Amino acid sequence: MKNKIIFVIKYLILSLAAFAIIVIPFWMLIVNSFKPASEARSLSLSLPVKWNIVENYSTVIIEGHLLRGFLNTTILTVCSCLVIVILGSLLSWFIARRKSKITSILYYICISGILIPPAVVATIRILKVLHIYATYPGLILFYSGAMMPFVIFFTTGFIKNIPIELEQAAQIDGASPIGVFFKIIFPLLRPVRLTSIVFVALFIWNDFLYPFYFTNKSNQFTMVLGLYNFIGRFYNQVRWELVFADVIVVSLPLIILYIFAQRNIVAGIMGGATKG
Amino acid sequence: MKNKIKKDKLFLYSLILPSVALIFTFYILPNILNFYYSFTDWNAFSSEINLIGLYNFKALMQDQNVHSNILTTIKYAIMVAVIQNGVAFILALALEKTSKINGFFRTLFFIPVLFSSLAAGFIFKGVYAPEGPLNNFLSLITGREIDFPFLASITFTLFFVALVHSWRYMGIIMLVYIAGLNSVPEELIEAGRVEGASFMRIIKNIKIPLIGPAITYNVTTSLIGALSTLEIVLSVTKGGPAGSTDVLNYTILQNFGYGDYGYTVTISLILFIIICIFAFPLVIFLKKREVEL
Repeated sequence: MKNKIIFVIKYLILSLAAFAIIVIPFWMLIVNSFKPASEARSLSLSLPVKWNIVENYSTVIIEGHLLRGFLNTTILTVCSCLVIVILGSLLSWFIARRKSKITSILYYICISGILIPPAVVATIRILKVLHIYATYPGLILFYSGAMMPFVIFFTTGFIKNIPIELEQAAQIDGASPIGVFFKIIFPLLRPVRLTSIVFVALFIWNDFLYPFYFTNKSNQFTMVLGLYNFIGRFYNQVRWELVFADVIVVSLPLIILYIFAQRNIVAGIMGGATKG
Repeated sequence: MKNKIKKDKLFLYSLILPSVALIFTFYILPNILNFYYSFTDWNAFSSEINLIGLYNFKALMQDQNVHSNILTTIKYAIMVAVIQNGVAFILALALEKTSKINGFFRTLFFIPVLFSSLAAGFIFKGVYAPEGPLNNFLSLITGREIDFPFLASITFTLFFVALVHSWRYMGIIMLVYIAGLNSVPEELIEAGRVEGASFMRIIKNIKIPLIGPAITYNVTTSLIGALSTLEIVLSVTKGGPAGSTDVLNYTILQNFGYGDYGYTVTISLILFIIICIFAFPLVIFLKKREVEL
């Protein structure tokens, strides 16, 4: 009986908390994005008197260049993830299987790399010298280098727990080192690859800082950068209905992805956590 | 045969080279150059870069703005670390067991993680607005018109911005704590119960010590994440009111806009050093754990 009361009280408190900090903000966001400017001005939580969905959303999608932004962000995230996961697992394998001063130093660098961000202004100089400043290849290479340490950190420990006998057996059967990696190791990395992709993709998709510094043309804008620029236009007389519609469109792709891949995303983060 | 092994090895090195080169070019090199450029007059208006000794550092010593922004950044980071970890830990304790209903609440509290910081900031600019739901709610429960200046108070606004930051990231921290709590052996907790230990005592004497690594990791990463914040301040307050929420990354952004890159880089060097001071113990700690494995 006592346990039952505690159970009820616990979930009552949790529901209240969720209502206050999750439901209300998102309700405000969604309902006001459906209203005309005159109604959204008061930010009330009531349903719209006049529904203005099509006007608001078509305005932000067209004037906020969100289709272009979606395409750009997708290219950036997918390409960076591919480079990071393939090159990163190779390097992790190297670090995990070879005990030397160099691999030890590399590992230290990678651990510090997950904590200390690269210096953004100095990076501009590097990108300019390499003639890839304000280009997508430049941004993808930058993300690959800057986010690689995360993958190395997650993956190296994981590989160390894979018995080396597995590799030796394949080697005796005549597989080349690279064959050993792609036939034996790479398939086994699935869970840790998931963790890496979740972390890296969430970061790149939502990132503002680096695209802000490393792009200079509006056709290069990512969705988040587009959001910032679109809202900058009427910052003084805030048009909440447009701000919120833009926020929703920008956030929607990840929310849809989350609905379909929720189990994988949560497993990815929890997997990374027990490693850390 | 020997030749083949040699060739294989060469091939292997050539596969590893690109990743090492990428890490070097876009992580190590920028941080080294950051040191170098802080001794130069690099700027937007001249193509030449000259060494000017300690000039930037002397200017920094006299820049009262930057001094107070350093303090603001550290205050902000500590607030975020405390709130974020406190809330996430309590949520993790409540949702530790895997069940349908707990899964539902975990999902709910995780949603903000999917939003970009910039989007989260714009949402809360609305929540905190004078006409926004928070003030309306306060008016409703107190029965009179409340118009609390959440985003216009020199004393409190930094705290309310820190709340947004914590809101945005608490979902991830919560999951890390849940993963930690789930790794605590059930027998230990059972043994504690048999000995008659109270709920709080089990948390304090069994759970917290055993999830030490998760706590270290979470506190450090949330401190560092908050130290290098930009988007939330940019979207909620733009550093205001009266510069009271002006954090270092925002100062850097503004100085970058003025075109004095040498000085901008010097400010970012300060941020780099502060982050290193917080990060260093964790790097050693993580490496040690790695050895134990």
